[in-house]
Amino acid sequence: MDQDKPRSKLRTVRYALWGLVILAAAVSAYLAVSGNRQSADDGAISSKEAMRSSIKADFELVDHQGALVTEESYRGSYMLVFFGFTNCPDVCPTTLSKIAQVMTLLGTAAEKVKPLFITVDPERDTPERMAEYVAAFDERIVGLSGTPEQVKTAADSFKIYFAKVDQDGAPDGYTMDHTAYTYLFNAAGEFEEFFSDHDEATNIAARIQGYITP
Amino acid sequence: MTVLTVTKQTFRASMSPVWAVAVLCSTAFGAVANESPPAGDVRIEMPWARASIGTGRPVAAFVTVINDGNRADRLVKIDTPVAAKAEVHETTTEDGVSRMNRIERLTIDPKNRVEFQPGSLHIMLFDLHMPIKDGETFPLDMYFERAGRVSVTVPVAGPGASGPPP
Repeated sequence: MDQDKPRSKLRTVRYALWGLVILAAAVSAYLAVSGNRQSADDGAISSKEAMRSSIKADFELVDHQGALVTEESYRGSYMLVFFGFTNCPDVCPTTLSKIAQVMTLLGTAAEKVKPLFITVDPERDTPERMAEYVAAFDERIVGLSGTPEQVKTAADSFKIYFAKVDQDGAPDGYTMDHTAYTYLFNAAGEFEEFFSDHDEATNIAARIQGYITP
Repeated sequence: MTVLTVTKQTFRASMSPVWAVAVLCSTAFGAVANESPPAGDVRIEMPWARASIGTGRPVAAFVTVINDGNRADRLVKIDTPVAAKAEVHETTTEDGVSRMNRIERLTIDPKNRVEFQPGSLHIMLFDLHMPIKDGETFPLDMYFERAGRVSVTVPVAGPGASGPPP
């Protein structure tokens, strides 16, 4: 048990450092583009504005019941968006299970939140397979699939990286690398923030609650 | 502290025949053994797996492998009747991007332990022969270069569980 502590501390430090790197990159990108010289106090806001101008929810996909949907279909709800694939046995079940916990923790406020699970593996993840998968976690989670082109367009708008990676012995000979952040968009469809794998369900629920009833 | 350790060791040594009986019983009556009997210097603690969603998707199982010996040992093979294939994989997440790599060579250093857990090392069970259901158990054999076969009974938790079933 004692051995774990330094390791998990190191991991926390590493995540914190990555967070700083991303924040610094976003801020400097914004400054470079706008040519403005912002004061340090405006750092957080300007990085959010920069991320809002770059991370968009723009998609046309098919939900797990076979209906064609776009981001407009969810206007008026907060969208909690995660990209993954159903042959993923580790990160995706962990995240979907966490999203299910968040929905439970939100209580009645959960009615204002639409959790969307978008596949990065449309070749295998048909709407039927998405239906089977999301139902195992929470029936409020909507599974979205589409043609490879539709999925690529969606991933690009969310600034999600994904890649098919050949792997000997894996089912169908491949696995998927993918960005594992969970994005929150407000009822107007604007990006609010993202959560990573070290954010606990209670923390995520509290932060979402803060947007819904400030 | 020292006294505690000695007591624990003595307790463990005296428990060995008990474990043999426990394993026989678990085979006969389907009882759950959550710790492997010592095979050489390697033992396995806290085995658990996530339930499958259908049978067409891989499932992750987790164990803690402990090497009590003075020499390093190496995992050579994993077998289970529930799946055609079982391999060690590792999830790494850097810059927000998750990747899964196969670990061909897993070495357990002397007097050390390797903990499998969600988000890092896991045993991937491919090509399931049957659904792996929440609340059930299944047998798993891990073969080590020096210690040979170490068998455990793996309890199954929910499909997105973050730890063993209660």
